[in-house]
Amino acid sequence: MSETGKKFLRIVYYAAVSTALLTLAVLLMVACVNIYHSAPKAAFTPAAIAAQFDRIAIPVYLCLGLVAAGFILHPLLPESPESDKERDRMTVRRLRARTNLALCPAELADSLQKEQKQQRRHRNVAVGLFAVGSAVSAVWVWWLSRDPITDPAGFILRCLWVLGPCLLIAGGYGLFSLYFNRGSYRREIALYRQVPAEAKGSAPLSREEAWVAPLKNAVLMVAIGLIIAGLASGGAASVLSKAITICMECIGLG
Amino acid sequence: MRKFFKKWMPSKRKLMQLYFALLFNANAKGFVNVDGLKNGFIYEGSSKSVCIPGLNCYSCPGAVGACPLGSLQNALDDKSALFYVGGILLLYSILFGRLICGWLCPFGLIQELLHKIKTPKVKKSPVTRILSYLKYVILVLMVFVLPPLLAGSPAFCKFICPAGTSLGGLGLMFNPENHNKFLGALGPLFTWKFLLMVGILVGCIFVFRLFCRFICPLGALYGLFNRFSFFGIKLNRDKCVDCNKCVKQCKMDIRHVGDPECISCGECVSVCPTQAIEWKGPKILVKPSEALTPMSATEQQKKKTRLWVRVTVTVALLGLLIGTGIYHWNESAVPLPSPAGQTEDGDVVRGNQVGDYCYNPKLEIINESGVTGEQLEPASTGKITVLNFWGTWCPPCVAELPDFERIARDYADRVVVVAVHGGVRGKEDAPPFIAENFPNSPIVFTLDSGAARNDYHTLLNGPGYPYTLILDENGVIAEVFPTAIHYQDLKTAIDSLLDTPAQ
Repeated sequence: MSETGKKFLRIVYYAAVSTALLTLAVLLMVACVNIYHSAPKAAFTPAAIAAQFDRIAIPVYLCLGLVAAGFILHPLLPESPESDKERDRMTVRRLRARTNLALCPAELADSLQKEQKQQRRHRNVAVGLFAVGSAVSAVWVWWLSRDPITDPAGFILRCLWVLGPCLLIAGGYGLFSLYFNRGSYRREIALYRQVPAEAKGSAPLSREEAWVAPLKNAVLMVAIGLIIAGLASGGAASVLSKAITICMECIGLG
Repeated sequence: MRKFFKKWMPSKRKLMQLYFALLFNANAKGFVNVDGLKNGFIYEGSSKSVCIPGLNCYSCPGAVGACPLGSLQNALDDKSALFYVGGILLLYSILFGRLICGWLCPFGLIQELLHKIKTPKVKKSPVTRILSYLKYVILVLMVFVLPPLLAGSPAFCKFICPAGTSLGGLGLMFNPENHNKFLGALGPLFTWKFLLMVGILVGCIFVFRLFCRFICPLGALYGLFNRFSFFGIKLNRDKCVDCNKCVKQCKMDIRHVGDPECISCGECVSVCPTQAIEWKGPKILVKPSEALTPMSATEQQKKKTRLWVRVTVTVALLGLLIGTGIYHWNESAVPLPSPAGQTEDGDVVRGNQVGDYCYNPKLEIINESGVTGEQLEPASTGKITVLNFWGTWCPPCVAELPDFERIARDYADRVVVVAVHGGVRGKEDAPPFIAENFPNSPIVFTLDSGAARNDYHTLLNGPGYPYTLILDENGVIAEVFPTAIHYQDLKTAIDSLLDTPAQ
């Protein structure tokens, strides 16, 4: 079979199975809503469920049969060609922590610093806008609340009139800077990949491990202490009483 | 044939997930009806005071432990329980981190099995990365903020958790005995949760671990400790060359191995070209990265020793699973009444259906000061009796008590309203609640402890609270309400009984 034919076969196969599954889900959801609307006070009686299911039984069985057939026939499907998409998921922060710029070639270090400076500039502007906006809003709220508040809803609305645009401007610039920095982060990562392997030292790792181990032990001791304190004050009995006598609405039956 | 088995043989991780799913749901009797025994309901043994690590609703008929999320939400207004549950969660987090998600969580297993259905898959992208932060919002809002504001109601369990709807709600309805009780009680909340559950389960077919990645607050909590946990996966940065193959191989939204999104599934270990990915802690059931160079005699001896250790541990774990299952199967259950569904108490045959004489144990009366020392037989009052089962920890139960008080005042000389407090902490919890909310109330508050407990568990015919029965003057059950009710429903039921002459 030609590559195009194989590709077409795979598309048809996946489309059929996906459609069957989605149809099944939609049928169940529609049946559930119909049951509820038919008798809101006592909706889910066995008779009501049976009546709704009778109407959708054939499509449900067909969909289930299609999915089962798809599962059984999948080993016979022609294999797709290998596709490899390069996606960069490395954090810039981790790369910065691992790389010693003092050991980089001068040009590389200079380019890296330029990218970082640009990112910092955008971030500082976004943070500055947010800080100014918050300060303006806080002053405005203080100014408004000097007199007794006779209309709470109106007071809240007036606050939102000021707070809203302030946060919008800050948030908007924040989104813009994220979008603009995306390209800068990619360039920075590409530059890090040019850094010689010897530059990736383990000194930061040692400093990190020095405080992780005592922290883990401390948290473990705190956890054991809390359990003992809880047991001593009857916490286990409280958990047991709630676990064996279920509140129906609390598990969504209502 | 060998090729077929090799292809379809489940991985070690899958076997471990299945093992723990069975272990945490070892109460097989919860799903079946065995003649002569009261089965088909939730397990009520003392092991339910221990929270299991993964997401498994404690209303699942097979569950032998408590759900950590549900317990945490319920514990927010109880300091002793908060210490206990908080300590357990902190212990699991610091020991295992999100290794629990990858190896121990029953709901994670369900999602991975669904994802095996052959359809196009939604691959991870910057959008899924951003969506993965949603679970932190849900953790803060639905688990910590909303429950105290909703009078202790566990908001995540009530409005979102699909494990409760699938494992708990549908699991209980797996038993035909529960159909009549529960199906009539379903309403808009169940519709919403059912639709959400279907949406999540269908979504899991197309998106790998959709619930784990975007919604699960338990995963969010464990993920915060991923970097510091004793067990799990870690990256040896000295060996790492930042080729990113591990990130590409991983189906979760990780930025690097071991970050809060990593579930320590280990699928990245074999693709690392420099064996920089390792397991933290003792490597009992999981092999370390395969060495590329041939092993020396010492290493071969070590490998043999490790094999024996693995075999021993595997046998021990299997023994634990089988032993737990046998123990729970043989644990004595409350015997069912005679085949007609009734027990004989002298000349009177008592049961739990409409038309049966109600069980009539002596109930301890309590008030704002505590246990009064007086007792009450609810089926022998000689008046119409409204018998309500409630708990201070159950918000719908508490919400309907004012309606019962109103009924008790309106029908003071003809109706007795008895409110039976359930649970093991009735003596401690109920009196302060009564003193604060219902001082000098005409409602007769009682406990369900002691001899009453077995009778009322049969009477309740299920685990659910609130539950209300209306008895006529002869103690015969006239009406059963398996969920919360309102003043008008009570009034209608009582008025119909008052119009009917006593038999």
